[in-house]
Amino acid sequence: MQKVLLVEDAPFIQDIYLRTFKKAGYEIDLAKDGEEAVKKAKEHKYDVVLLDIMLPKMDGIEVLRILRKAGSTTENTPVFLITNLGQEDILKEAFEIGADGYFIKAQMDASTIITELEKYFANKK
Amino acid sequence: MKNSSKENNLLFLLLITLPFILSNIIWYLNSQIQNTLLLFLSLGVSFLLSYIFYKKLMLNKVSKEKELGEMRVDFVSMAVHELRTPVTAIRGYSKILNEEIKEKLNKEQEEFLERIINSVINLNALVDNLLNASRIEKGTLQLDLRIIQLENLVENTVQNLVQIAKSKNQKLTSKIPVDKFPPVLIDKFRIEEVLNNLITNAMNYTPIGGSIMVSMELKNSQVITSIIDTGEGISKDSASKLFTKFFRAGGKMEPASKGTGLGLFLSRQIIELHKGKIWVESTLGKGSTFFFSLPIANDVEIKNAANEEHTEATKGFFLNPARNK
Repeated sequence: MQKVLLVEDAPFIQDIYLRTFKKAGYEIDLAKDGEEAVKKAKEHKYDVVLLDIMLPKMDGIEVLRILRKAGSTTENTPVFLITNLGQEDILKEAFEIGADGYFIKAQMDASTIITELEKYFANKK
Repeated sequence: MKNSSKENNLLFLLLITLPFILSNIIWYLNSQIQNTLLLFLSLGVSFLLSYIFYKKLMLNKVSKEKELGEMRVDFVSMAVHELRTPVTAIRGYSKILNEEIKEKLNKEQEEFLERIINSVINLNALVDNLLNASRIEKGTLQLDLRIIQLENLVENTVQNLVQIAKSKNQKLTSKIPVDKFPPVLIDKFRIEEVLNNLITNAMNYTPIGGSIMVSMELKNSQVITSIIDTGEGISKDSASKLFTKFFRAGGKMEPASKGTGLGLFLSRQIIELHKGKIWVESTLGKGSTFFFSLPIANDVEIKNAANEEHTEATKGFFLNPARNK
């Protein structure tokens, strides 16, 4: 994991994640809405996409559906949802579409998300 | 509350019936054919009519109340969701401050920052609890069930709290039989919440120097965990309301700012979702024992769970089994 795309619309949360990832030595890009997320994910090659669900213009589930389209360059890009509690039905749908996992924002700090992702990618090797 | 509304309903029924009966009697007295059979017949019809009328009105009332209840639940979950983003921002920034400028602060300022962090952690937990309560009421709380040795979870939870008990000069111990228990099918993090809640409650209501013991036993295919404290105990009256929403026992040991009145309510809901039971036995002045039981997993459950591919989850992090084989 080197290059990360963060898709998040809340300014303060964006800032906290960007700072924490940069401090940990990662390259991190930001998309502020669903359309921008799709555009950036297709233009660059990211090692992981962190995707919020409630987004302006296009919601996270729709973004995920586009990224996972057969034959697309992003078909196999790891995508993790970062979301809040209480959206299990949506998360179930996301798993069916092909999200790799999800983080519950309220229970994870940006730094613990980094730790978990590092563990995850180390195990995958 | 409920009783008085029942009385009101009866009064209402009488009020509806009264004009029917009166008109019946007047008609009977004025009538040429004074046949008692006819009177009873018409009285019967009027009763029936007013009863149908009454039922219909009541039905309307009940569905209105239900609607109001649902609106309230939706309002709570909406308001709580709105709280999420600012709480996450405060938590994130206070942690960044803590890492970046802690050395530059004087003792007092450092203490302030620590208070901010602790408060926002509590606030975050409160938001979680409110959201869980509203999800339980809506029936949308889902359990992530796995086959687990409960004794390991109990032992770990106790060990995590021993230090806090020590700082309060309390003795927190566990008494778990050496023999392995049959496994249970549970949502580990939810049951851990219940354990944490019961043990910290016991610590909050037990004086300095007191002791809390967590013990386990197997009875009628149920694993029973009990949390025994030497606190002030709970009156019979309080004990019956203890597991309801927003109830707080009060008493002289009541912690000044802690507790939302949701902990035991949520604990009961979580245990009941696991088809278990939760209850309390207490003697005033001597202490209380909280029990919860969980049914042992049956063979089918164990077999299915063993077939299920899963990665050990960390709290707040879930992997998609379909993509992580």
